[in-house]
Amino acid sequence: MKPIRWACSRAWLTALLALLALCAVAHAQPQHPRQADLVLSAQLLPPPPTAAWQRVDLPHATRDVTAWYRVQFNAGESKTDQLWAVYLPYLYRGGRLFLNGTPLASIQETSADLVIRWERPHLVTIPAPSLRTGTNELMIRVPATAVSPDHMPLLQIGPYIDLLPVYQNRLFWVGTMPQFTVLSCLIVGLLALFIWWRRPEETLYGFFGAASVLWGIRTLTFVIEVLPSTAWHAWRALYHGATGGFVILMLLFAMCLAGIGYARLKWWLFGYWLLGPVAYLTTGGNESMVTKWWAGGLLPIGFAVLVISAAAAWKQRTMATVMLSGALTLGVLAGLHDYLIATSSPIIRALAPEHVADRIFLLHYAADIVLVVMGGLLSARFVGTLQALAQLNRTLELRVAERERTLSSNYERLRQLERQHAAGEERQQIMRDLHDGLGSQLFLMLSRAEGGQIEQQEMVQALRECIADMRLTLEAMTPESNDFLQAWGNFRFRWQHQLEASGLICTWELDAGGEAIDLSPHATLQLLRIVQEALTNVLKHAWARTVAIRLRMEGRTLSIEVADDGRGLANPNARGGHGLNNMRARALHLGARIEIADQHPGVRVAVRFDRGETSDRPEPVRHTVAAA
Amino acid sequence: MTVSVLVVEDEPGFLQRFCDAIAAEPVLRLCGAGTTVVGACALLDTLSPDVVLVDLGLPDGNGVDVIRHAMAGGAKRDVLVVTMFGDDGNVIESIRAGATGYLLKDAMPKDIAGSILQVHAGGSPISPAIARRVLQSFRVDRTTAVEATVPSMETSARPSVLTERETQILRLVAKGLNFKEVGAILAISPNTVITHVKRIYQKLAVHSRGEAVYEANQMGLL
Repeated sequence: MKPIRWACSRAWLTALLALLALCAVAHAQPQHPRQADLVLSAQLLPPPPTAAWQRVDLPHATRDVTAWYRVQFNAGESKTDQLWAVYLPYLYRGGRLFLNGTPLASIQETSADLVIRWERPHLVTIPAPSLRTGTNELMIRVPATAVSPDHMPLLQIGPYIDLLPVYQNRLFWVGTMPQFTVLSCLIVGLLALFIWWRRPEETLYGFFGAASVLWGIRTLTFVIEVLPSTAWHAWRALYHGATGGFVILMLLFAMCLAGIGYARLKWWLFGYWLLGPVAYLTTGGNESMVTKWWAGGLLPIGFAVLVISAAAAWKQRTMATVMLSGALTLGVLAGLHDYLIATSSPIIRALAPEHVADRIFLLHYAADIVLVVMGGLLSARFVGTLQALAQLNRTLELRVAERERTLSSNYERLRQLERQHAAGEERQQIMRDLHDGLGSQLFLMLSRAEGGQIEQQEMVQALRECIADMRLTLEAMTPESNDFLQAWGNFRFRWQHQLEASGLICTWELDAGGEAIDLSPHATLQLLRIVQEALTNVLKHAWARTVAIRLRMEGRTLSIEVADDGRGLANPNARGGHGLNNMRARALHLGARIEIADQHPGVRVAVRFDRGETSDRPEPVRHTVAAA
Repeated sequence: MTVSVLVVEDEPGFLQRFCDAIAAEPVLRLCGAGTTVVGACALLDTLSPDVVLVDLGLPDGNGVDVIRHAMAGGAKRDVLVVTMFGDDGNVIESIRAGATGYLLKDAMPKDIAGSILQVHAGGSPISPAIARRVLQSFRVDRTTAVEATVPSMETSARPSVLTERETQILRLVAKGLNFKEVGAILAISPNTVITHVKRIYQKLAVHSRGEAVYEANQMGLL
């Protein structure tokens, strides 16, 4: 955000300057007086020309004493209707300006009630009548303050239109940027702290949030330029505390990222952090002492941050550590630079005097870069965490799906086993049926035939019954599906032939819809046996003319009815009593209901079998259970 | 005009039973009896009977071979296969080989003669189980031949194989309805139903002959 803004403003300024350069041919260039005359005097009016003026180089600084500076410049012949101005890159404590002996401007100064520290540059316009052709004399009063050296900047004098962009450029960097930084640092820092508050194990977010907030507070001191003097010391202490805290938190952040333990060191660092503000307050605001010694002590810590992050970058070679160590290098270099400027170190004065004169402090911007990088790293971590989470979810889903497959295959196996088991049960049932029915009948006949007790006709009849029973068993067992209707079709075909051969008129009704009727072979066999018994009775005993056989499917209930118009149950015991009992026993065994009613004329046998709740697919077990 | 019948049965009791039933019917004339595949084939060549009764379980082979021999060269004769229950897979095999009827082993003497006469008169008996197997057989043939089991093909069976009417008849028979009932439902005479069934049998036989030729070609026998 900030770099973009910066780039925009630079582009804008460049464009403006280019435009101005076109016009510049017409008018004079701004002048940079490099020397001034100085008189130390607390007077509110400029000293007379006869005072003891001393020539000094600009920029200049005095300590604890009010100074009057006299700057001479040549307006040349350019005294047109053009507006001129004086540009002061800084005049921290305010002051007064006089041109050619008449008051030009008064910039608010520190008083008993207010502490003033103007970070902004000043652009003072010169009304056209005040400007003389040829030499002009500008007097500037720089008031004395108790807290720091009082600086007289390298000023510029020239056409207003030329100085305005220079002024605006500096205003942007020393005025707008800090405001911007304060706002974004506080918002981002509080967000990070919120994350840390909800997830205390995310220590990095905590360090980053705290560092960001501290940096915002520190920068606030550059935004607030006018302060009640009662709050001044507290304000400066806050500034030093925020600066120190920021550097120390950076160290902890770097150690945390590099995976270095800091449990013990933490307290030492905390102590050192407190030392600065406390020393400042106890010495009654000894700015230069705190800046030189305590803030100087922060520099090794800054170097430690740099070394640790560089080592981590070297060892881990991750994007995160490399980026951070790069940004920190910038930060530390900027901090060193600012320290040198603030203390007006001879080294930097010798190297770049112009730069010292500008008094541009870089740590703001470097710290902004560091914070942006830290924020970027944490965002990347956050995104990484989200992606890991998504990956984890995918993995989990896959595992769940796999588990589901295993489960369903296990279930399928279980069902298969169950079915095999059920099939085994079915087979046993059928074998029992064969044993009890066909087997016992054959053995009975064998013994009677061996004893010579059986008539040929009776023997034929008995054997035909055996064959009929065997057919029935086969019919119940052979269908490929468990569809009762298939077995019923075979049964009907066979019995119709037999009934018609005996001269009976038979009607068959089928009311089962088009659907198959799923039944186990055992249940099928038992039901068919009951019906067969009933039909046999009709054939043998009823002397009937007609017989009606009805099969109906109502819901899940299968009902079969056999009704004849014969002589009825004249004597149930004499008339096939054994057969009726057999039918009842079979029905009971199967779990079916049977009704045998004498209807005068004829007999009606009705059997109803409930197929149970769930037999959409064949479930022999259910029927077996019902039969048991 | 009598109908000459050849009986192929290895079990003396049943052979006697069939011979007695035929002798009792004046229209039928027993022209011979065989007990082996080889013997039956020789008798077929010399006697050329109108109707052949074949039991499948012969000591020297399968009765199906006898049926094939009997029907070889598009002979105009009928073959009835003797079966225990009228629903086993052998019946379908026999029909494929050219049989146009079946006879239950425990059939009453008058039923035996009746069946022979019915088949000779152009009709064929059919049980629900056989009807189902025939339906199934055509369905299986179709799916293997067409290679695609598109459900819509199910209803539109190859018209050249089974007609809509024939399919209807088979479905009704499979439910256990007799010819009279089937005829009533389809509004045709029972005799027409019988004729249809015989045609179905012949189709199955022709179809399986074509299939056999195809298979033999595939195997390099022809």
